[in-house]
Amino acid sequence: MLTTSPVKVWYGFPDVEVRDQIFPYITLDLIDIIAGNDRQTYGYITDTTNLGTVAADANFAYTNQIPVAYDLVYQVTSFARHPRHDRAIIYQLMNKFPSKYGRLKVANPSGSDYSMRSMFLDGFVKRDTVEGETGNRRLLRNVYTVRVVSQMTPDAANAVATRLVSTVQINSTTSYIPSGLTPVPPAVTHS
Amino acid sequence: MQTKKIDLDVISRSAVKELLPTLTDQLRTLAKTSQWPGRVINNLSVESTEDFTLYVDYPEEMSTEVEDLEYGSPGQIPNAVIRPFILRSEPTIAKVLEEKTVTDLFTGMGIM
Repeated sequence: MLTTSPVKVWYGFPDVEVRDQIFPYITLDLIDIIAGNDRQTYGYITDTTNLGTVAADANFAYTNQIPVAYDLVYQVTSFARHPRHDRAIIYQLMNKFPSKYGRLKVANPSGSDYSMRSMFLDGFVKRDTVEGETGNRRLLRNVYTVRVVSQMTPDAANAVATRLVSTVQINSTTSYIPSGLTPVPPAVTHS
Repeated sequence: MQTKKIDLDVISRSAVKELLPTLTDQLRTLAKTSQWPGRVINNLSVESTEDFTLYVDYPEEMSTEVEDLEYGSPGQIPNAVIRPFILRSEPTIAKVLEEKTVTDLFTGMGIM
């Protein structure tokens, strides 16, 4: 009889002091973010749905800059004590990351549309340990290196970039003058 | 008509020979940035096989330590260096190989 069992997934290694470390489990670690220069194009996209964020309207057209391509590189690691669990997880993850054909569904902010991002399995390493640091208990580990194609839009960049200085109060003065220093005289405006 | 014989294999070997120290420097810099232990960093290098396949090399006795750093170990998150290095090394490889091979070709032909 086929039984299923959920496996916990952590971002980063589970802290044994605050969480129950129950085997098997899976961890996700972001190990790199690199520019996807090999697939970068430049220019503008014009459409009637504003990149799928609004309902199409034939009377309006939206123009957006083509986003900057990035690759997010993750390490997906599975930990198991039991060989049967290990095998089952390998089977599941190999189906999740089938060579260059993995896909990750990413919804847009409004949830009205989504894109399927490619996920590439760049590497697989078996790193089982039997004794020593694992307390003489076998630990079956599988390491998958997965590259997820991503992008940054100009809007996203603007939202996090340092705001430009809009005003500078050059004539404001302070009453706090540290000892030994002389206040700068107010600026003189020429007309 | 005078012809000049150019050995492309010699030019390729020469280009790869020039490339390896550059890549080794980049690898070690990345390892240093990621705070890998100094004695591990000093033993990392980029080497080439006879058929010009590049690979990251380190002493056999350090393999567990290097792989634990790269992939993590029980209770320790991965601190990857080798994989990011491989992903980032392509522009350097292209630049050094192109410049060196073109220069050697032109020099061999008596143009430079």
